[in-house]
Order: sequence, then C-alpha cells, then structure tokens
Amino acid sequence: MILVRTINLTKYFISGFMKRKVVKAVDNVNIHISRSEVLGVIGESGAGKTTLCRLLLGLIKPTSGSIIFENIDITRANRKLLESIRHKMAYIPQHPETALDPRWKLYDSLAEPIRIHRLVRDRVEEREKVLELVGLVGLKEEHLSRYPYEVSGGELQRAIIARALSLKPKFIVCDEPTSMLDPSTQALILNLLKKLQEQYSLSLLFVTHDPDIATIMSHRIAVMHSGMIIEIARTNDILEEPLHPYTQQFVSTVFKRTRLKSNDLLSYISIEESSYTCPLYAKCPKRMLICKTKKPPLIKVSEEHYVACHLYSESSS
Amino acid sequence: MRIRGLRVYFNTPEGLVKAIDNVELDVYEGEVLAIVGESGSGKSVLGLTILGLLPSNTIIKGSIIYDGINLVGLGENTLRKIRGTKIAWIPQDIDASLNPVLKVGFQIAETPLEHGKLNKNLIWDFSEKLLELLGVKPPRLRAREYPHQLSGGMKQRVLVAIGVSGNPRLLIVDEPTKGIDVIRKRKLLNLFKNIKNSNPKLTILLITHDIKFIEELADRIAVMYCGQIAEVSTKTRFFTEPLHPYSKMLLESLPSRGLKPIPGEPPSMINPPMGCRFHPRCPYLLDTCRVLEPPLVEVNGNYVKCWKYVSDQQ
Repeated sequence: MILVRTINLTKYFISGFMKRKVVKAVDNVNIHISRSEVLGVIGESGAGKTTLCRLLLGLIKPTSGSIIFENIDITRANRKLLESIRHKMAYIPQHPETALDPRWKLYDSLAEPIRIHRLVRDRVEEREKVLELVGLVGLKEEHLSRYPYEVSGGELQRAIIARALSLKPKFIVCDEPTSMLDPSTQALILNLLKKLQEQYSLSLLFVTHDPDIATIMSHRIAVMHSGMIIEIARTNDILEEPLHPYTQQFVSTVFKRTRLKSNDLLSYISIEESSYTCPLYAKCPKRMLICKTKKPPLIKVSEEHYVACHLYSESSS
Repeated sequence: MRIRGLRVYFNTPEGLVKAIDNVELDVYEGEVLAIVGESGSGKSVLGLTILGLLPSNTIIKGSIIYDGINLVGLGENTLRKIRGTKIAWIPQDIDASLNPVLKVGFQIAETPLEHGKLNKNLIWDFSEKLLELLGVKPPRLRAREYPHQLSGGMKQRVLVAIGVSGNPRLLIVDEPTKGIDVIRKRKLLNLFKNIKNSNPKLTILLITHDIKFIEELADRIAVMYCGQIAEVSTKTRFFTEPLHPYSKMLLESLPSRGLKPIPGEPPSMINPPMGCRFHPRCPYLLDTCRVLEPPLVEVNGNYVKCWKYVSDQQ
C-alpha cells in the first residue's frame, strides 16, 4: 500500500535580477513509498536530495507537480488540512546540533510537539509520555534537564529521533542522519532507526551519500543526479545490475574501489542547462544522438526497476 | 618526530580536562600516519600541540622532538619559522579557513612570501603552477578568484595548495573528509596519493575518524582513545587483526563490517576511569585492567596499550 507518492514533482530556484539563473533542484520526480518501506536516496552533493526532503515534508512549495500523502495532495491542501496530517510525518535532519532550540532544555524540545498537538491533559501525563520516548531511544531521564550543548552528538541525534517519534508518525524523512557522527555512534543510531522502523512499520525516506549505509537501511534505492531520479530499483538490483552509466560508475567506484578516471561522469554537473539534453550528455561514454535532443524519461525495465537512459528505451520500443 | 610523555591539560570551570595524557608516538620520515579515534579523543588537540597553536593557558608537558628541536615550549618567533615551511597544517573547516576578502592565489602564495622564499612579482605564477598541479582548472582564472566563487571541491584543493605551498616536510591534515560526499572523498584520496607520489619524502599525519579513507592512504595507524594511544599498527595489521579490543570494535562498527556499536559511552576527560581507560566498555576485561594503567607494549613491531598482551608474554 502506497503511503506517499509524488507526481512530476519539480522545484526550480531562480536567482539573479538582470541575468536570471534557474537551478533545477528537483526536476520531474515521480517516486512512491509504500507502508513500512525504506527508500534510500543516494547522489552526490548538489543532486537535489535535501530539496526533495523539504518538498516531501511540505516545508517548501514545489514549482509544479504534486505530493499525495494518504490520498491528500499536500501541495494544494489548505493550512488546516495540512496541520491535520503534519503529525503523520517527521524529519531527522543532518545537523543535529542546529535542530533544537539552544536555550531550551531537551525536555521542553521533546514535549513541544505533544503540547502543540494537545495530546495530553496535564503535566504529569506529559512527563510520562516524554519519558516513554526517551526510553525508546535509549536516553536517560537525566539527559532531559540538559541543554543541547551539554550532550554529545549521538545523544543529541537520539533526542531528535525521540522528538520525531513523539507524534507517532507514519513517515519519517531522514536527511543524512549520521554523516556527522563517529563510526560507533553511527552504528548505534542506524541500528536504532532500523529497529524502530520495523517495530512501528514506519516508512522512511533515507537520504545518504554513503552507499554502504544505503544498502543496509533500504529496501529500494533511488539514484539522484541534477535533480532527477535517474535510476530506481531494489537495493540488490542497484548493486548487482546497475543499468544507468552513471550508476554503474558510482557503484564500481564506491564499492569495488576502481580508480577514478579524470573524464568520468562522477561529480560532473553540466554547465549548459538545456531542458532537451540529458544532463550527462557531455561526458557520457555511451551517448547517442538522441541524448542531445531528448531528455530521457524514467522507463520501466523490469519489475520495480526504472532507469532514465535512452540506452534502454530502444529495447522496450 | 618523536613524541614522549606528552600531556596536554585544559583548565575549565568543571575541572582539569586531560585532552592528551601520556602520549608516546614516533613519526617516521616519508610515512602516512593516520590518527583515528572518536570525537573528543584528543586527535585534533595532538595536531594543534605539534604546531604550538593552543591557547597560552594550556598546560603542556612532555616533549615533541622534531628534527632535534623540542617543539614544546618554543617561543612564538621560532614557531613561526617552523610553521608552513617545516610543518604545515590543513584545517578541517573549509569555509572558515579561507580569507573571504583575499584572492585565493594570494592566499596560496602567502606562506612562501612570508618566509622570504618568493619574490613578490612571482605570486601569481607560483599559485597558478600549484593549482594546476592539484588539478584546478583553469588555474589562471581560479587563482584570481575569491573563495566564494569556487565550489567546495575547489576550495578544498586551495586549502591543500596552501598546506603544501611552503614545501613542508610534515603535513598535518585534520579531518579532511568531514561532511563531504563519497565521490569527493575519492577525488581527495587521489589528490593526496598524487602529492605523495610527487614527493615521496613528505610525511603526512592524517587526523580523521573516517576509517574507509585511511584504508587506502595510510601506512600506519595510531588509534587514540580518551587522550591516549591505544594502538599503533601497520595498516595491514590494523585491518586484518587489530591488537587493541577498542580497534577491533571500532572496525566492527563500520556499516560494511557489521554495524555493531561499541557499548557504553566515551569516558569523561576530567575524571577518566581508573586503570585502563577502555575497561568499562571492554569485553576482554581482566582484573588488572580495573586498577592499573597498561603499558604500551610491542607486538611484532606494532604497539598496543593493553594488559592482554602483557600477560601473554609472561
């Protein structure tokens, strides 16, 4: 059963006054996440991963396209309707140290969502609820009377996870939740997320640029480049049979440790932003004439394996 | 470089923070020595101590013998002559480390200029050459730009260029991979390999907690735990059969090696545990570990601070 779905989701950022510059942060993205499914999103910095997260949470308005969350189009929902479904989604940000109010004790930060949504009748009940949350993520009661700067990065990230869980969400967007943490703390947080995901049948959008983590955490993986999803498939298929030339290079470089060549597709961002050309046209070793004139759409290759590359459109047509 | 009995303490309102407590470490010429450990284990402080960059109220004891000179307690004037030309530092925070109002080419040439090794007229030639060497294209244009005009990857290269501009013998690199994506990490890795190839005598001290990064770059690995050296091993030894229980558990916490977190929490640096500092989290706990601090013992040319190996020999 599908929980969240995006339809042609697009976000352009326009900068400049005289000379308009358009950055296509998220470009025509169609994804869906089922109940209790983890969708990993990998891609380099600047691929549009974080913008996608913010769009899905309704934190920014898309340029066009829509997001359907439990049959409600959140891009067109009014404030009241939006508020009524907000508690079903939560966010775990990349930088735990800037996510909580530095002048609030952890207790208040954790109790805030409960207070806003009026889930409890009195302070005693509130305290019980907060303690329950804290126990869930393995923090102690003593941590609650501390300020964010008084706890370690791992403890802070656990507090943020507890806060994200406080409203019993169905969907959590995790934006590189462990990229700033030590290996041991990272293992702790990832194990915790995995356990909670299974325990509460949560759906997760898990953004990371570490393919090892994506492999462990996700059921399916989406590869992003230049704001587009260029390939999406089950985790094993992405690793063992990547189809897109970019994914192939990404996987072989990162997993098989092949040496980087200077003229490859990785960390290449096209300078001419033409809406008709494949963003990797200038560098792709397998480019064809059609790649210059037509942007490849995401096509189905096999069950649950989609790729945006003309190499595969021939065989299907 | 020889580090003996190094102790670095900070006075804070809560008490004396023992950031580095009795560190003994040898750094050989031409090697890449990685220093790994959790945040707060004292890795960065070690780098800052070598360069004499800590605030003046810090208590530093012990010795750092570099090229026959003890760096501990040297005056600012002498240190200035060493920094940049003999020992250079590549900091971790890219954005906070470049001067936003100076062109990057000038910032690159600043070190040799300051040390009187470069003629003023040659500033641009010098920085262009260096940028070209590090793969920044086009060097002529980039050297004349300001930091905000460059991408993150290029800024990182500029920082590396500043680091090597004085042609140092020892390069200390602090957390080069923090917060950058896998592909940029690979490029950075290749960059360091190239630098190393073009100058085999250069010694690099790599401070990081990114274990995957050092797997390809480092010759030896020093593991720090709570201000002390837990193990110093060759790369092969460390990745196949690490000596210290902490090293073993650190490896097992990697996503590709089991994702097992180390139980317990890093100890307080103000009141570290008695005996071995790792004992509250150690699965191979012996009675001795609780009360006595283990010595650094040699095991086939590698060093480990653990009682397990002391009793083995007896």
